[in-house]
Amino acid sequence: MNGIPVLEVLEVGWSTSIQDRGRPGYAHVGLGSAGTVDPVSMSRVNRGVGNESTDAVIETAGGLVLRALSPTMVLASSWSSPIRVASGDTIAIAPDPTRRWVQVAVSGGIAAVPVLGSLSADTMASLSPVPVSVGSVLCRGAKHATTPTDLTADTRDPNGAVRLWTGPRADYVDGDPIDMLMSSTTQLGEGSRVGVRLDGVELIRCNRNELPSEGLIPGAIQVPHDGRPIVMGPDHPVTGGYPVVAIVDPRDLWMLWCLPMSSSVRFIRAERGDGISG
Amino acid sequence: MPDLTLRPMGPTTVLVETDGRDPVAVAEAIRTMLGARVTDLIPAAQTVVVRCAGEIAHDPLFSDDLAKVVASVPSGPPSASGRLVEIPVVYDGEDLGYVADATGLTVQELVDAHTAVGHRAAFCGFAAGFAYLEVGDQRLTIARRATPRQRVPIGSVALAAGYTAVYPVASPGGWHLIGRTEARMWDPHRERPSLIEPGDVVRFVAR
Repeated sequence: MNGIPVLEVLEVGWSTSIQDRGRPGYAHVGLGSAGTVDPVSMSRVNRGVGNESTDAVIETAGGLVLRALSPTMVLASSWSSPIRVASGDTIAIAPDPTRRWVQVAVSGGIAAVPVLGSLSADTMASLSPVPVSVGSVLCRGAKHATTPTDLTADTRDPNGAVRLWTGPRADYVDGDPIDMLMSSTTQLGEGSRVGVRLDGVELIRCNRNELPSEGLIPGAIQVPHDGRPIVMGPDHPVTGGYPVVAIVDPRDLWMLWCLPMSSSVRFIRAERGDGISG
Repeated sequence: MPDLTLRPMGPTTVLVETDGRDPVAVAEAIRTMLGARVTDLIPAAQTVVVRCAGEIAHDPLFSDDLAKVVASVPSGPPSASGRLVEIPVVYDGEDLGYVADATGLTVQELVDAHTAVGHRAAFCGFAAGFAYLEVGDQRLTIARRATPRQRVPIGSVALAAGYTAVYPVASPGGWHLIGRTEARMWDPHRERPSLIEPGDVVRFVAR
């Protein structure tokens, strides 16, 4: 399945990669699942150009410039509606001051040969089934729509409260880490697909013993010896030796990759009933 | 029910303390018995992280099933049931002399100790295909380097903290380098992408 050449990369921008839902099932051999930082946004832009909600998209922190090689329809999550482009048109995905990462769908979906069941790049594993660099040609699948479908607005609030669950090693820090995170003025620090640092909060390690390595998941909040928490992202290492004191609810994790650096984050405690619907 | 610790990690994941059981055997039992409800299993030093297909981490029925499966695995050291993987090594690592001094062995004794017995893969992590192999000879136990290297070459054979390993890609690293291999540790295009899987026993062969 190599598809039809549809876009050429003129400028690669920041942190640009191809992503789908990722590849669960290989954590035991050291490979994380990777995948989009925002599955809901990925589904929405895909549906907006007539794709399956799980088709592969381009994910970028902006600065990406593309040239259309054949007529198609493109939708970025930072736009209000898809655009139709003709061969030779250029498409610029500017950095969005309100969103750190955006998803870009092309009608037909990005097509290539999957690696271990997915087209997702994994920065931790240096795995990139669809390389994205200057001059790369991206192909689309054959199922191609030419008229925009009704696009529903993304009504989610990225500044909403982020639900936290107690982590398996909450007792490695002084006090209740969720209380500490709720009562601090926490801001998003440096971030990548591997993880994002939380600034403005210090969780004091009361147990400084080395923890034997144990499994990590996206959303796990690790506390290194310096007390500055790090939230694991889709490309996190699969095991780690720092205690995990809290877990970001998977349904709220997108906010930490959507909001730009230095944004304030408001945490609340997840309730058991939260886990039933959703 | 025995004294088992299950620690939920949000709505879809549970960390199991294996409490003296072999994490690889616990992970295999979970995969066999509860495979349809599990998407990923991460055995590690003393735990197994169970990622579920759905929001069932707090479901008492699932916790009950999980606890029963874990309890069915006998405590004690692992049985040597994994595959045997032979890896040819050239023993010329930068830290070979240092490790020999630190362990009180000659270089030849060190090589003999590393090649004489099998090393069992306890778990993977750090990088795709990086297997933590329990050193088969306790004389080879050595702490990490005080200062990690910025770049360890692909295929480096290394020792640290009671484990030995082969770096599957070039990366930063804090282990002592004792040799190198041309064996391809990780290839996502192979049917088994990782040459070593948890539970396998690795025999190093001096070249």
